[in-house]
Amino acid sequence: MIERSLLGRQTPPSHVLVEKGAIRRFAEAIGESNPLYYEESAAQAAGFSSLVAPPTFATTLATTISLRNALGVPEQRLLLSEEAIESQRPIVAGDRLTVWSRVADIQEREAPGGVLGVVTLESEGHDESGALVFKCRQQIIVRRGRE
Amino acid sequence: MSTKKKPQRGPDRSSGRQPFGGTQSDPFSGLTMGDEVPSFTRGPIDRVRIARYAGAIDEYSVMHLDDAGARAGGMPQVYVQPMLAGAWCAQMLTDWLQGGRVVKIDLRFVKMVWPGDIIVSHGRVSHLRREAERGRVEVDVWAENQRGELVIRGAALCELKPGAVLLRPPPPVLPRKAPPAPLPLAQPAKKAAAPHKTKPAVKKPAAAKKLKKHSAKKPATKAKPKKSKPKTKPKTRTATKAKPVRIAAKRSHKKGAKK
Repeated sequence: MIERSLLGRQTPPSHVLVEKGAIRRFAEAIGESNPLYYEESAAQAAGFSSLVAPPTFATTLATTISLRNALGVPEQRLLLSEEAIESQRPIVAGDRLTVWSRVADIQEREAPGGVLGVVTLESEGHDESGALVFKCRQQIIVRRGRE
Repeated sequence: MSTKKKPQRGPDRSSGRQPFGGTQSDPFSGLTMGDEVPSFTRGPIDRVRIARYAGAIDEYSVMHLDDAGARAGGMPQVYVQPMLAGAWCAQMLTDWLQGGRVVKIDLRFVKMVWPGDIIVSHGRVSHLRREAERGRVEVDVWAENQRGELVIRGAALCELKPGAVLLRPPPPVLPRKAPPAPLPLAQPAKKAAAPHKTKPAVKKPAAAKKLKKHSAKKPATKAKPKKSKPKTKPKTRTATKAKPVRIAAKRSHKKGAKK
């Protein structure tokens, strides 16, 4: 059973500084070679204040781990089934963002094949002026364990 | 990096790909509905790639990093983080956009991705929109593995950079001189039938076929994706751009003889 009282639970806001090293490491991990992600001079020549983050980088800022832990299900049984990312502007190294996440939905299922339920987690990040910078939505399948 | 085998990169102007030819005054950079994004191949995915991605996102699940742990968790072995493949769908778009950006991307993970998989991402323009004087395009996005199975399906909203010159997928490569004695090409024969149903399949495999012809038959471990036959096509073929020449070339390519 997924703990239903979690519906609507929200993490406290966390303050994140987007770091150049994190952007570089992410770009390298996904095999990107675009200099905008590595060289500040290249990013600045393209009009950014510093390194730009690749479009899916926002998933590293979304603070869902505490919510996933709170589901009361071992992490081995969680399976990401959908991810949506939306950004109002490119995320750039040096951005100071306030990020929080919430349990937006819990659907319980008695599906054969071992699916217990589907949990939707939503995260958002705002900049120092309060303006929305990004939103992420994850849909996570909770698989039935071996019982 | 040595751990990555990337036979296919992003826009490659030396390959003779044709630009869409947008102008500063055309916010859609010459794009129309149905236009395809050059496909984007990554893999085979190795354990180091999985480990790098885990470090980059600062998440260390045994399901991705430890086979014994993964088996205890009900999987036959570790599996690849879905958003690693998802990042490649986005990368296909950023490479294509030439300075534009991905505003929104929404991906559904249809099938598991495993170590050793090769992931080929595809995109096709589904809508054009104008927002605040910027051209934006909605793109259906999907990715397949080396078995031709659909692993990701989704959509993205991209903002175009004014004046950007976006590349089309390359036309199939036609032999310029008499081809060498044809090797038995059982796979391409099957695949060549597919393009009539699935347009996106035309591009990558065509180039890969050429490689196959001129080299000894090799196992398809490098990024030669199986002909794509997605179980659920995002959109049926629209006839916005009739490309009869391409299909004819496909046939001749299969036989290697007539034009």
